[in-house]
Amino acid sequence: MTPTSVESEPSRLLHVAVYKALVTGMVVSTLLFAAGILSAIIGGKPMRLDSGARSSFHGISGIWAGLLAADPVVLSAIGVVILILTPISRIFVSMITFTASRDFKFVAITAFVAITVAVSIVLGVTGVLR
Amino acid sequence: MLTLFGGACVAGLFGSLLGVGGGMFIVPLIVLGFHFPMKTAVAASIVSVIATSNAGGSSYVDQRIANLKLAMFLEVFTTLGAMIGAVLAMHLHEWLMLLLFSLLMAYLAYSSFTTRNLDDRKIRSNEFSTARQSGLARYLDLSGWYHDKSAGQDVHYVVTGGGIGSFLSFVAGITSGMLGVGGGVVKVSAMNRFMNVPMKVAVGTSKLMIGITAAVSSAVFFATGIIEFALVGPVALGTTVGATVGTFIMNRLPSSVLKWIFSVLVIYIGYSMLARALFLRLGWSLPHAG
Repeated sequence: MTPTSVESEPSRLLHVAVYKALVTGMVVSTLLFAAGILSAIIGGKPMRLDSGARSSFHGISGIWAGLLAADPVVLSAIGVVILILTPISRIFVSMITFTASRDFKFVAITAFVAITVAVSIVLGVTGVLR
Repeated sequence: MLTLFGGACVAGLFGSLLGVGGGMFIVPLIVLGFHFPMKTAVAASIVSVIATSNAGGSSYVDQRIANLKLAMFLEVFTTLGAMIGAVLAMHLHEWLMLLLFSLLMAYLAYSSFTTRNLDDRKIRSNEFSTARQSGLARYLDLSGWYHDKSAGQDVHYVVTGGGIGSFLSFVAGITSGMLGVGGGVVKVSAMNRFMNVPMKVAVGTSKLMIGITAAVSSAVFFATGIIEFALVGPVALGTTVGATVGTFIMNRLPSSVLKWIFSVLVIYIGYSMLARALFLRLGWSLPHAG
């Protein structure tokens, strides 16, 4: 049988959803990193590469204040968080798309990956895996 | 900062051409060029691996080169392997692990080099689609196709060797979890050499997959506060730009060229691992950058 190069609708939806999730995360984190570097240069306080940059903004309330003040370290830190969440969002976007196309084998596989990732992060952060 | 950005661009470019993270280039750049401690360099490098995976992976998804179902299936084993690798790292001697993985790298380099012309031949003769599909691949509908710009044709392939592929993906996870490097190399080799997956699909699928293990490691580094934000910005931007450029080039190159470059990279990684193992165990200092 000659293979045909036609993409099925569930496959197209999956590719589009994953592509959008990855590109959104990439664009937002890139803009935050670029804004952080620009803010450091324009603000006359370049983040030194040899000593460790620290922010004067701390805690949850400090995040918003740091964003408003265009603090380079806060902007970069949020960029890192967005970056970390992007591949993880790909797992959840895939799970939603597999559910919508009633591909329950892959719903189960994706759920297993999500659980393993969650357990790994919890074990790592709590110090069990360090 | 420009040196850091430029170096990260090159790492991102090669990373997206070969489906690997590029940490092997970024860590020495940060340690030797900017005199940061190894731990800080590894943390910044791991974060940049996510950036390069997002940039490279998204483009390979858009070009329909990455196989999303195959990636998700193999991630079951890489994520489990990475977790077990992190546990093993606490109990096993680092030199022994480095020595074992350097032997694995030597085999993968040999295997990639000796089969460097095989992909182009199989594409021309349509052999990727006529192999005997494994029952697991059929059950999970893992086979697929992509358009090869270099060959100027659609390439259909069936996935074989589900068992060995799963096992090697598990080993790739252990490599990532234990050593922080080398996972992408094992994934690409596992798919291309043992699962009848064309080199370019293996590269695209691996590029997408490495983001997950890197995200887990980065979350832990973030929580422990060893991420240097001044470093991460330029490195992540550089790898993103490099990876984006790499995705435009990759599909235009013949697979034989990719496998040539891949073999050289794997030899370099294996040699760096061996040099570090000998230094840790015997105090011997071989010339190497890592």
